[in-house]
Amino acid sequence: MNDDRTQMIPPDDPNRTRIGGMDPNATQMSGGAFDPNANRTQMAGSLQALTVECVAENAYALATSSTRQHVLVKMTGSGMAMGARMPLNLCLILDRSGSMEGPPMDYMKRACSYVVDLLEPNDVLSIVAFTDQAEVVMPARRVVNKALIKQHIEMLQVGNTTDLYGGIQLGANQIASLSSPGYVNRALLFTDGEPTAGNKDFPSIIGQVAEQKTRGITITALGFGMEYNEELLASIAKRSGGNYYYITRPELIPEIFRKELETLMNVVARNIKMRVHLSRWVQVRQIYNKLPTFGHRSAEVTLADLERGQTQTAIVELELGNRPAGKYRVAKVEIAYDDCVTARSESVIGDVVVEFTTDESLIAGGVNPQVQREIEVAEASRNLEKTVMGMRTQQVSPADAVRELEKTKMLLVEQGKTVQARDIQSAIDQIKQGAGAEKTLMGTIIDLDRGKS
Amino acid sequence: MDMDKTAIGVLEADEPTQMMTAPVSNATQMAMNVDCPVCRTPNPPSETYCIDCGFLLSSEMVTVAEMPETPSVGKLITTDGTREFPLNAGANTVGRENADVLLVHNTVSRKHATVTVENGGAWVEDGGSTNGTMVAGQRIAPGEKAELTDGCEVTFGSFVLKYEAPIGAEAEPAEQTAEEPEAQTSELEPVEDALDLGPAVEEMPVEEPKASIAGRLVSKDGALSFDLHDGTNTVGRREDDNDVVMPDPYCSGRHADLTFADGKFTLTDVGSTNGTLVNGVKLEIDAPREVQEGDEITLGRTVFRLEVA
Repeated sequence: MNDDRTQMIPPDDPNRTRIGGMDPNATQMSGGAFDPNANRTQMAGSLQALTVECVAENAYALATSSTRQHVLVKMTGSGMAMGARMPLNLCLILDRSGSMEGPPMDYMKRACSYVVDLLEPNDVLSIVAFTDQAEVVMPARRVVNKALIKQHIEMLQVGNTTDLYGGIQLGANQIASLSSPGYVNRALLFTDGEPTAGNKDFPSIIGQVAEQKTRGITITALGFGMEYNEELLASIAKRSGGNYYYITRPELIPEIFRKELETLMNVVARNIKMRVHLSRWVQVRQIYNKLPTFGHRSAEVTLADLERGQTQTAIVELELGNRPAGKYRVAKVEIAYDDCVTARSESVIGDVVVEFTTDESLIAGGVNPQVQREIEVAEASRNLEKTVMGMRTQQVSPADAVRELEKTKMLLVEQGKTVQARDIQSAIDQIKQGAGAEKTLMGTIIDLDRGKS
Repeated sequence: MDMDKTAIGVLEADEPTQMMTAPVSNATQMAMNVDCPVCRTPNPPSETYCIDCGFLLSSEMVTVAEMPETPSVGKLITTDGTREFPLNAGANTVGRENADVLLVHNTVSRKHATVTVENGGAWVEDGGSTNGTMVAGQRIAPGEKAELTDGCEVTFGSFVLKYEAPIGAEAEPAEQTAEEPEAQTSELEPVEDALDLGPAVEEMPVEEPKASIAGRLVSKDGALSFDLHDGTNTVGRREDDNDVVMPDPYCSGRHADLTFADGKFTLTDVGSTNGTLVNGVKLEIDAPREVQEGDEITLGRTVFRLEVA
């Protein structure tokens, strides 16, 4: 048991810039690559991983009175396949409560072994399991001796109750123990039930998740089967900026783990913060589905990690004071993030420019349809959340739920959100078959709130 | 690749042609600051937009004859001075979401209060908020409109804002102007026989006093226990606007209010979906009911026992 300790290599190992997640033809980058600067010059043009675009709802505003405007902030992860990926600092937080007995446990172990296969020696892995209490199955270390790690996994056995809180805490501590700025930190929390041991209440668990987020640790929540609390897991993913998955059958567990790992290997920007700097006569009325904090003439929110080729949006509603006619920047949007391509903290800026005019006909013609569409999607997400909560509390009948969902689906189809529209269709099918659809829809809400397309 | 350079790069790309033809008076002296034609703020030459008002510095200000004279408006300012909320004529909403005065905090209700600006004055009215609205430390009653005087403090939940009257507004009576004691900022011992200004306004604590524990809600299985404070304890599933945050999915986001006043607890269902029961009897919505030590209170599917301190 002791000889695997020798596998622990400090995180600054030059290996870490190996190219290509799962590519067997991967070649190593040339020497001295642990220096982030040397690194950057090797990567084609050291392009930033995130671009931002800001669009006002209307290119014009009335000069003579105060008005309201929505601003769409759209962030895109660089679509350039740079070859290199950021190493992962991953923790598997695994439920081994009594209900996992049988195929679920077997498939979970298989999924974990699969994860080990996908990782590379420069990645860091730790494994935590929880039942009546949480325990460290394997402390954070480089993925060097894969056979030995798999032995740890094989030794997992089912226990009794579910100490989810303890699991999250212990898992996050493992990530923090080897935390380094060059890594994508992520915990995969896998559970099949309600918390039944330790700190069980919703606010404590969410509070813990929020605290870990401030340490730069993101949690992806994977719910398996019918018994887990989808509201809790969705809230964990939401608060943390991680992903949420609903796994219906045990044989799908390995596939979902693979999917999440692939997502992680494509993360190009993490710890994303959006700061909206306001011109003097501008106020923020709200930032949709987010909880902003405020500074001097500024508002800030935290956003989810961004993958290559993916977009993410935020909608800000502003109140604009009246102004002498002319062109003004009403807000400067700054996106600060950890860039996984340049391996540095970067920031990009977008200006929101509006022309103030006394000509009302200009205002009528200045509406931006794209922003209006996104606002409608944000509203649809709010309605969807209401429907799901109504279903959970049995206040909305299946027939009413189907009616509401059909409406939302139509809207999403019109707005080009085909993936989410498809999710809703499968939820409708589930309800018509007499099954619950809340677990599916929670994921749709998270996707819509992030403006995923 | 550092942040400033990126910023400038983006800005220049935005208005490249206009930069060349900028009718800025001192265009030949590139190193000089550029005064914004709208607000007169001096701007470093690298700025495209005025750092204060956002005006595109390379463009010309259009002066339109019918532009109304911008009247000087009153403002609410946070005590640390970081945030300013100019008040518009008419109603200004105060709340946690989609509000003119947006205060994101769990002690502020969604629709917390309204500040109405009319006839040269400003009045605040509480909108049925959970934690109330205070003017100069006095809680305002439901339906009451309290006038704001220059420099007075308005408290929404745990936020304290200072009201600044518009310039040129009528001077306030002398007793109000005495309200900004300089001594407050220093840690020095108060001087004996300080100026006698009548009632010692400066002794008024700005922070609301810490609420004492008036009782406790304990779930029958003993797994949950919530302390109840003086005044209203909001109960519900949503974590950001409840004092008692229920982990029960059968509880509504905002479920009930449990108020301790005059030595008594009263329980009000505020429109929950699955109802509130006292000793098995369902409460009518919005009808307060007195509850006592040992009463069994059912919220959603969780059963509690009330303990009175």
